[in-house]
Parts: sequence; C-alpha cells; structure tokens
Amino acid sequence: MSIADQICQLEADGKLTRYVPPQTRVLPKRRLFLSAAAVQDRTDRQKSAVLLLVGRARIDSALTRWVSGERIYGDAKGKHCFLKRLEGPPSDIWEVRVVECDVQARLFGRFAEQDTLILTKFHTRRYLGKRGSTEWRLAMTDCERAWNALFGITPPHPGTTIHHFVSANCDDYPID
Amino acid sequence: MTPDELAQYGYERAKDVAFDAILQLWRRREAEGMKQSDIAATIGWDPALVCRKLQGPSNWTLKTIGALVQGLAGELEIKVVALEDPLPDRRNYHAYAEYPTPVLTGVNVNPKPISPSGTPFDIWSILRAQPVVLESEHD
Repeated sequence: MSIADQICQLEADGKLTRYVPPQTRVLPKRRLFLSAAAVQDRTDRQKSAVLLLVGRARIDSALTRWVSGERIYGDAKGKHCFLKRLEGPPSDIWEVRVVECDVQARLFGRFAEQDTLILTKFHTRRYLGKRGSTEWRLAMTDCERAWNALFGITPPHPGTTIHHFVSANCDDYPID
Repeated sequence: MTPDELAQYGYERAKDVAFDAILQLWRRREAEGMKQSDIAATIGWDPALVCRKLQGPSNWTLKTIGALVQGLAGELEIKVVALEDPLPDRRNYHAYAEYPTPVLTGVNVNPKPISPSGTPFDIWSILRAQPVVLESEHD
C-alpha cells in the first residue's frame, strides 16, 4: 500500500483531515493533513490553548502558506524561518513556526512524502519553553507516537536537504 | 470561522502576500548583487530595520511596503480578484489530485469539511463544481 493510499484510508476512517485553504481560487500546490488532535487544536474553542492565545486566523494563514505553495523562506543568514526540522531524537520531527504574533505557535508534524506534511499537534511557544526542555522532548515524542499510531511501521519521509521535502518555491537553507 | 476570525485571516493573508511579493523582488535583487544596506541607504532606513522587515511577514503598513518597493527599485501593483474568476492558467497542478476525497462511512467518521462554510455568498458551491484540470491533460 502506497503512502498516498494509507493517507486516503486514514482520511476515510476520520483519523486524518486534509487542510483546504479558505477563500482562495488557487489550487493546492502542497498537501497537508491534520490528525484528530491537530484538528481539535485548530477548532475547539473550549480545549485549545493555541486557538485561544494565537488565534485561528494566524494558524490558518500559516497552513495556507504551505498548501498554496507560497515561499518557504529562510532569513538573510540562511536560517529557517517558517519550517524547521527539529534536532532529534526522535528524528524527522518538523515544526511549522507561527512567529509574527504576541504568542507564537509551533505546529508539530512529519513528512509522509515530498510536499506532504502530516501535522499531529499544535503548541504555544511559551508552553514549550527553552530549546531542549522537557516540554520540547515530550512534544516531539508525542508527535512520533501519533505518527506511529497512524502509520504503524511506515517511516517518515527521509531527506538530507530541505529540497527533499519541499519541491518548489523554497529557500535553500540547512535543515541539520 | 467567525466573522472576526475571517477578517483577521484576511489581514494575515494580506501580510503574507505582501511579504512574498517583496521577498520575491529582494531575492532577484540579491542575486544581482544588491545588499540590504543598499536598500537602507536608498530609503534612509537603518540597515537593521531592513533586515528585520525581510525576515518574515509582520505588521507592515502601506508606508513600509511603499518604502521597500522603492528601496528595491520596484513598482507596486495591487490586484484583487473575485473568487469565481478563472485562474490565470487553467493548467494548474492540484496537489490533492492523487488523494481523492474519501467516501465517508461509519459512525466514528468526522464528516465536517475543514474549509469554512456558511459565507453569505456561497462561492464554495461554485468552486467545487469547477473541474480540476491537470497539467498532464494538456500535454
């Protein structure tokens, strides 16, 4: 079974939900699927700290950047800005960074294949604390656990450069 | 999305689109040898401010955008299109084309689409009815 077939099956089972940008006529250039926990983080006003503190609009704007194929940018020093692979273990955990707001967010996930991102959980940056904190490790471990619950033994998409993960419209910055 | 969230989303998208437009010209100018200090000198800004502005979408004003456009030796064009207008190029790649929407069955399935609905003018029904034209179909 291909990874695409697996994703379609998980979608049919209600375990993954594809993200479709609101209010756009541009066809999706990249794929994004949310786990049930990520859907809750995005939509549940009673339980989601990210929704409360960061806001749906900022989260959706970041997700739309990805799906619409807009620039995945680094800064002048060649450092990641929007999308970053986190230092493991566990390996191959990525974060989408929502930074241009008072309370920042980090959206955790893994790549199923090139241009196909599976987001498993959203966190506020405040919750995660300093790099390497227990909260960071827990969040990364939870992401790996969520991946395993969805995909079993299927490993995340491998790669050594950002271009192995993002096919087009992406700055060239190191991911390790 | 609530009306407030939709309005805020529009603002966030405007920031993203403005940033990407500026960044695109900056990447070109950078390849041509321009430096951020050149932009700063042209528009009388502190180089650190230029650097900060080019790091990511932020609360730019029209004044900020206009200044950066001048600093990059560019010209601003603003275009707003209707959602129902045709795409400029119908030969457009659709990333979900190989991931058909599943037929949802069973009791534990969440049938809610993740895209918003209930906008006063239901443009989505029109857009959904438009056929997806894949690039390969035209080659």
